[in-house]
Amino acid sequence: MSNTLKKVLIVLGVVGLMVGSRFIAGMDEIPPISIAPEVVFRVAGYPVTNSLLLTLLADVLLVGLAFVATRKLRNGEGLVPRGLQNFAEMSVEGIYNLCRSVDRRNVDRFFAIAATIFFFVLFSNWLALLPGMGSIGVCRTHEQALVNPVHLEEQPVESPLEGAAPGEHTAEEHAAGPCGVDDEGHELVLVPLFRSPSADLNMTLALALISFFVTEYFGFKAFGLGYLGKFFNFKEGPIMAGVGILELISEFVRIIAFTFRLFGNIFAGEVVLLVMAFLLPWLLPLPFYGFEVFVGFIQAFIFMILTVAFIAMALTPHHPHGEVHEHPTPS
Amino acid sequence: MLALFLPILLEITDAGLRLLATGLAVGLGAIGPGVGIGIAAAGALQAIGRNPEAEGTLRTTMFIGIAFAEALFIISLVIGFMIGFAII
Amino acid sequence: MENLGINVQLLISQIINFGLLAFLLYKFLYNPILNALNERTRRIQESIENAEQVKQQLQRARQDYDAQLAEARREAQSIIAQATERAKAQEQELVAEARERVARMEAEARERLEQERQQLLRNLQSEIADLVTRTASVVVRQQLDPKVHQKLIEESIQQLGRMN
Repeated sequence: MSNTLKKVLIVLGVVGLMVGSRFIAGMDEIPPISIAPEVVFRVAGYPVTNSLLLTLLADVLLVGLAFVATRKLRNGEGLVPRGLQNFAEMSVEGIYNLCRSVDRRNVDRFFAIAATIFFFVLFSNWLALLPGMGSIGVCRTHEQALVNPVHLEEQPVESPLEGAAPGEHTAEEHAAGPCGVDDEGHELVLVPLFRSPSADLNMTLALALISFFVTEYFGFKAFGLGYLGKFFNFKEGPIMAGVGILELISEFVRIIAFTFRLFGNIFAGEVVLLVMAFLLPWLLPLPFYGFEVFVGFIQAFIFMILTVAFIAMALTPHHPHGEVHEHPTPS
Repeated sequence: MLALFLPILLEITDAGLRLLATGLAVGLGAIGPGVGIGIAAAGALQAIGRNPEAEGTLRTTMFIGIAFAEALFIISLVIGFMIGFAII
Repeated sequence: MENLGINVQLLISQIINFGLLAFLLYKFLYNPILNALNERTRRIQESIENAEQVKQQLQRARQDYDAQLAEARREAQSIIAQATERAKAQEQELVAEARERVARMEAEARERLEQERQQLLRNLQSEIADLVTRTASVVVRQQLDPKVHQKLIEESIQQLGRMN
C-alpha cells in the first residue's frame, strides 16, 4: 500500500467519521439560543442566573488561586518564586509593565482595576469553554427562566429573535426534547447551570460602567471642574466646540461599545460553537474552540488596554495653550 | 413579474421584516469597520516593522483606533438587536 | 432593554462583585506580588552594590598584595646585595689573613732556616776544627800542646773563614 493511498484513506476516514457523527451523536435541532441569561433559581425574588453562578465560580477560583499563589509572599518568604507563585508573578508583572508602558506616572493608581478587569474577563471567557458548562442544566419553564418577568397586562410587540412564542408550538411537539413538559402542560427548557458572564449584558454593562466612571473619576480628580473644559470648549472657535461635543458623545458611546464588544464577541463565539456542534458534532468544533480561546484572551486584553488608555487620556492635560491646571503628581 | 412576487409579498410579516433588517444592519455595518480595522492593523504593523522600539505606544494607539472603528460596528449591532427585539 | 436580559438587580450585583473582586485581588494578588517585586529589585540592587564593593575591596587587596610583593622583592634584593657585599668583605679579609699568615709562615721559615744554617755552620766549624786537628795531628804526628793546638785551630778557622 503506497504512502499516498494511506494518507488519502486516513483523510477519508476522518471526514467520514465527522460526517457520520452527525448521525451517531447529532442533535435533532439547535438548542434554543438565548441572548439573555437564564434564571436557574430565585432567592426571594432575586434572580440567580446561570451567568451569575459562573461569575461566582470565577470569583472563587481567582481569589483561591491568588490566595494560594501568594501565601508564602504574605508570610514574608518566597523571594525565590516557584510553580504557581512564579506564574502569578509573571502575569501580574506582565500586566503591570504593559500598563506602565501606557502611562508611566499614574500606573499605580489604576493598576488594580485594569488587572482585575483582565483576570475577571479572561476567567469568565475561558471557564465557559470548559466541557459541560453550556450543556449541564436544569429544566425550567419559559417564564421561570426569564430574567425579567413578563408583565401580562402589557402585550409586547412580537420579536423574531426571542425564539418561538409559546403559543406557536403545542406542548406535544416538544415532548421529545430533553425536558418534556411539566404537570400543567407548560413546555420545559433546559437551563444550563453555567453561562459565560461575558455573554451576559449585565456583566459587560457593569464592567463598562465601572470603566467609564473610573475614567471620569480620575479625570475630575486630576483637573477638578476644569476636566469639563475638554468637552465644553467654546473659547477656541466653533470647530473646537464641535470637537468637544463629539468627545462628549464618544465618551458615552464608549459605554455601549465596551458593553457590546465583549458581549458580541463571546456570545457570537458560543453561538458558532453551538452551530458547529450541531452540524458535525465531532472534530468540527475543535478549531473553533481554539479560536474561542484566542478570542477570549484578546477580548480580555482589549477591555483592559482600552480602559487603561482611556484613563491615561483622561489624565493627560488637554489644554495646549498653557492654562494652569493642577497636574497629576508625578509618582 | 408581479405574479412571481405576489405570493412572497403576501407572506411578508412584521417578524420576517425585522429578521431581514437585523441581518442587514449587522452585515452591512460590519463592512466599513472590517476594512478600517484591517487598515489600522496594517499601518500599525508597518510602523512597528520600521521602528520596533515604539511597539508599546503603537500597540496601545492601534487598539484605541481599532476601538473607534469597531464602535461603529457595535452601534450597528446594537441597532440590529433593537430591531430584532422589537425595541424600536 | 428587558428583552436583552438587563436587570437592575443583576447589574448592581455585578458591579458590587467587581468591586469586591478588585479589593480581594488587590489584597491577595497585586499587593503582595508588587511588593515582592520591589523587594526583589531592591535586593538585587543591593547585591549588585555589594558585589561592586567586594570587587573594589578585592582590587584594593590585590593592590596591597602587589605593593607588599614589590616591597618584599626590594627587601630581598637589598638583603642579597648586603650578603654579597658582606661575603666580598669577608673574602677579602680571609684573603688578607691568609696572605698575612703565609707571610708570617714564610718569615718564620726563613728565620728557622737561618737558625739552622747558623747551627749548621757552627756544627760545621767544630766538625771541621775537629777534622783539621785530627788531620794535623796525623800530619804533624806530634802532640802539640793544647795551647799551641788551640792557637793553630783558630788560625786555620780564620783562614777557612777567609777562604770561605
